Amino acid sequence: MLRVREGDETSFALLLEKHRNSVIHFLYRMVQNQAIAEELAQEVFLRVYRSRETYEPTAKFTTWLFRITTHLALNHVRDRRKDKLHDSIDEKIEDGAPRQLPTREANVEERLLRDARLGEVRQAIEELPEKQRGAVLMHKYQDMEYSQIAAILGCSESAVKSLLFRAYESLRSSLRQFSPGGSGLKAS
Amino acid sequence: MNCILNTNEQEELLLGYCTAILDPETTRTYKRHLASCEHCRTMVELQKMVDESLGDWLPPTLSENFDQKLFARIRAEQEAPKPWWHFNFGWKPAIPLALAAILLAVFLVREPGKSELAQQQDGIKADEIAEVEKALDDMEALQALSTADTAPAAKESI
Repeated sequence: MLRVREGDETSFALLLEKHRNSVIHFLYRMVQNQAIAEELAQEVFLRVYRSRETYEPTAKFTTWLFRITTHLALNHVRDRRKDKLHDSIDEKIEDGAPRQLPTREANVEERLLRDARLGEVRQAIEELPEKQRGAVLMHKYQDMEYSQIAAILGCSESAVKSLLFRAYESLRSSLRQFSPGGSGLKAS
Repeated sequence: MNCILNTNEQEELLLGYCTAILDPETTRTYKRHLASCEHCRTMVELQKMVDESLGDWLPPTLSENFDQKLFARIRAEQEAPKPWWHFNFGWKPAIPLALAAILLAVFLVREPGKSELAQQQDGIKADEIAEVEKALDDMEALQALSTADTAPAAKESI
């Protein structure tokens, strides 16, 4: 990014190549719509490019990048939450790409079960408050530590832990029905 | 079935254990706890199911023209004419410039008051000068009178 700041256009292309997928994948899981995710990702990298001359390496580049990304994602989710009434689960799934599962599953029944669990988890993610959603996605898919998530969300580490604990508890509740023990157990 | 750990401890250990970030000693301690706590065993099982389901959630492939579109937008921005107030400096100098303009306006509005004071001071000086001149004139007149009085006495003495 420092080379981009100095006007090296090739470095911006390399930076894009390195971080493009992680940004888009995060945005996709936040908004659950590929077209919107790509549009938001374009805006992220436009802002990175516009800010290149004033960029200061005071934190990790990914922290800065994901701060921009999360800011745009949270704004979009909040705006969409105000606008939409009720979307069906089917519509949400249709907005995204066709569901993909790892090819290791040969058993149809197991594949159907995983498919159902995936649908439940996606629905549960969709219903999470936006900050909890962002925290879970960064924790799970970006392997970020609590401190980095805190820097991105602009809150304390203990607040991040609280966000994650509540988010994962919601996700576990959504999958209780699939556990061998049944759905009767509650968290103490 | 109540766990001896409080909720926060449960969650922190659970997440740490499932993401394998606990140190070896804490991992051993937690495993011993799991052996005797059905609640936490259930939580671990559910958390692993959540992790597995999240891992199954694969994103779609990226559009082929993503990079092309981005660079086209960047070029379009660079080629677009900048507004007259931009001057390649952006918006950042606007605030200090605005403050400077306000200070200048305040300075200009207060300028007549200052000249009045200066004028007052000038008036005082003019009065003083006039008094001094008058005093000098009076002294010359007295000197002339004293000279006229002493001149005939000097002639009589010779």
